[in-house]
Amino acid sequence: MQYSYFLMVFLVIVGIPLFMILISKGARFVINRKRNVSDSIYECGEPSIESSWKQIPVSYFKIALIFILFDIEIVFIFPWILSLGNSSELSYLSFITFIIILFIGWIYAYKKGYLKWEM
Amino acid sequence: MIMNVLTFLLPEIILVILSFALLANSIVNYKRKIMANKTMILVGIIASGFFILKTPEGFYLNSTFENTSSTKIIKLLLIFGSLLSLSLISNSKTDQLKKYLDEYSFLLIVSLVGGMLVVSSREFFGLIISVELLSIPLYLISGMGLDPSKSIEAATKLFFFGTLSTVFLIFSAVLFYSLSGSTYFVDINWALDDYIIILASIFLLATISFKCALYPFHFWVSDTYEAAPINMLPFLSTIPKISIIAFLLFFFDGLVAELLNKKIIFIVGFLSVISIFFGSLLVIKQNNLLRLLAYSGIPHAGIMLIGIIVPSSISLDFIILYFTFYIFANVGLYVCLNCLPTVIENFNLDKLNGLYERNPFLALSISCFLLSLAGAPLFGGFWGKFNIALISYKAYGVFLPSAILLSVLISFYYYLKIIRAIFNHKQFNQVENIDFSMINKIIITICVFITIILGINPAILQILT
Repeated sequence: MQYSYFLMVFLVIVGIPLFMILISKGARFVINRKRNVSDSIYECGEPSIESSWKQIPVSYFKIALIFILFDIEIVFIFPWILSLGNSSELSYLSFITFIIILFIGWIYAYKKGYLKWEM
Repeated sequence: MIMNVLTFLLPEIILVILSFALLANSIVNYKRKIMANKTMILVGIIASGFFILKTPEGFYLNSTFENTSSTKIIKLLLIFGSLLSLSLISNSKTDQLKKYLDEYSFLLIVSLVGGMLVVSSREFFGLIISVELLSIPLYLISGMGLDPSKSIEAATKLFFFGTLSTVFLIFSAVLFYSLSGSTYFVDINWALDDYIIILASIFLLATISFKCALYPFHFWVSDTYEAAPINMLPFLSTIPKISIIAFLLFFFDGLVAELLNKKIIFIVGFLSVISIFFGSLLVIKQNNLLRLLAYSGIPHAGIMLIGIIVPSSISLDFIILYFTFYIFANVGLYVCLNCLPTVIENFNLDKLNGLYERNPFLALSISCFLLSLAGAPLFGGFWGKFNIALISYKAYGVFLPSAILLSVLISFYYYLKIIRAIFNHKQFNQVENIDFSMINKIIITICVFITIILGINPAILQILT
C-alpha cells in the first residue's frame, strides 16, 4: 500500500518539474543548424516539389470523421458477434438499437450532403 | 427483463426518440417544418415529464441507475427548464438559428437526456457515459454562435478542457475502484483512512467544478457565455450545473450522513467557500452583461455545493428549492434578454439604458429575476440562500453562513448595477424594435409568477413531494 503511494508521489515530484522544463526550456536544447535536405518531405534523392505545410481540403476531414464512426461500429460489433452464442435478448436488442442510432446518423450525413466530395 | 428496464427508462427513451424525430425533420423539406418542430418538442417533452411521475422507484440496469422520489423531482425540474429554453429556441429571430432549428433542439434534448441520467447514476461507468452525453452537445452548441471566430475559440477551449476534465473523472473512478474493488458508489468505504481516497475525491471534485464552473476551473465560462447564441444560455447556465450538483448530493450521501471522513468534507467546503468569495470578486469588475451573468453563476454553484455537505435528509428540500428558483430566475432573465435587439459585439451594460421607459413590463421582470438571484426578500432567491445558510450554520457553525452573507452583499452590488442601468433616464440606444412575441410573454409571466410565489411561500414546493 505504502509502496504504491510512494510511486504516485514520485511521479508527481519528478513528472511536473520535468514537464515544465521541457515545455519552457525545450526550444533552447534544439541544435540550430541550417536544414536543407533533412528538412524536405521526401529525403531520398528525389528533389521535392512543395513544402509539407499546405492546406488540405476539408472534405478529407469530413470523410475521416464518418469513417471513424463506422470504424468504431466494427470495433463494437466484433466482440458481440463472438459472444452471440450465449447472449440474451437484452444484448441483442441493445445492439440493434446501437446500429439503428448509427444508421440514423449516417442517413443524416447522406441527406445533408456530407458524403459528397465537393461542397 | 426488457419490459422492466423500459418502464424505468421510459422518459429518457421518449426524449431520445424525440431527438431522432427532430433530426429526421431537419433532412426533409416541407412547408410547416417549424410548426412540426414546435409541436414535436411540446408533445414529446410533456409526455416525458408525465411518464417521470409514473416511473417506479428502485434500481435498474444491474443497479447502475436508481430512481427515487427526489431524483424524479429533480428530473422534472430539468425537463421543465429545458422546455422553457427550447420554446425560446423555436422562437428565435436570427436566420442562422432558424436554419438550424432542428439541430439545436436535437443537441439540447440529447444533453437533457445526459443530465437526467447523471442525476440517477449510481455507478462509475454509467456516470462517465452520462456526463459525456451531457457535455458533448454543449461543446457543439457553444461553437454555433453568431460571431464565428469568437464562438469557435470558445468551443475549442471548452472542448479541450472538458475532455481533460473527463480524464480526471475516469482517473478518480480508477482510484475508487482500486480501493473498493467495485465500481458502485455504495461500495466505497468512506471511513478508510488513506490518502488515495482523498486524492480520488479531489480528482472527482476537479471534474465537477469544471462542469459547474466552480472557482479554480471557471475560465471557460465567460468566453462560452459571450460566444454562444443567447437562446442557448438558459439551458447552458442551468441544466448541467443542476444535474451534476444533484448527482454529487447522492454521491456524498453516505459520507456526509455520518461524518465519516472529515478531510473530504473540508475539501468540499473549502472549494465552495473559495468559489463564493473569488467568484463574487470576479463579477465586480465586469461591464459586459453576458460575462457578468456568466461569472455570477460561480457563487451560486458554490452555495449549492455548501448544501451538499449538510446531511441530505435535512438539506434535500432546501437544495431542491434552490434549484427551482435558480432555474426559473435564470431562464426568465435570458428570455427577457433575448427579447432585446440582437447584440453581436460587446453587450455592455449601457445598452440597457432607458429600457424602463421603452418597455416597463420587460424592465420590471428583469429586475424581479435579478433581485431573486441576488437574494432579496419577497423573491425565491431569499429563501434559497437563507435556508442553506441556516442548515450549514446548524451543521458546521458560523463560518459558512458568513461566506454566504458576504456573497449576498457583493451580489447586491453587481445585480443592482444592471437594475440601475435599466432605470436610467437616458434614451434607449437602439433603434430596432423589441421583439416581444406571445410565447416569450407567457414564459416571462410563468417565471415571474413562480419566482414571487416561491418568495412568498416556499413551502409550496412540498406539494410536489
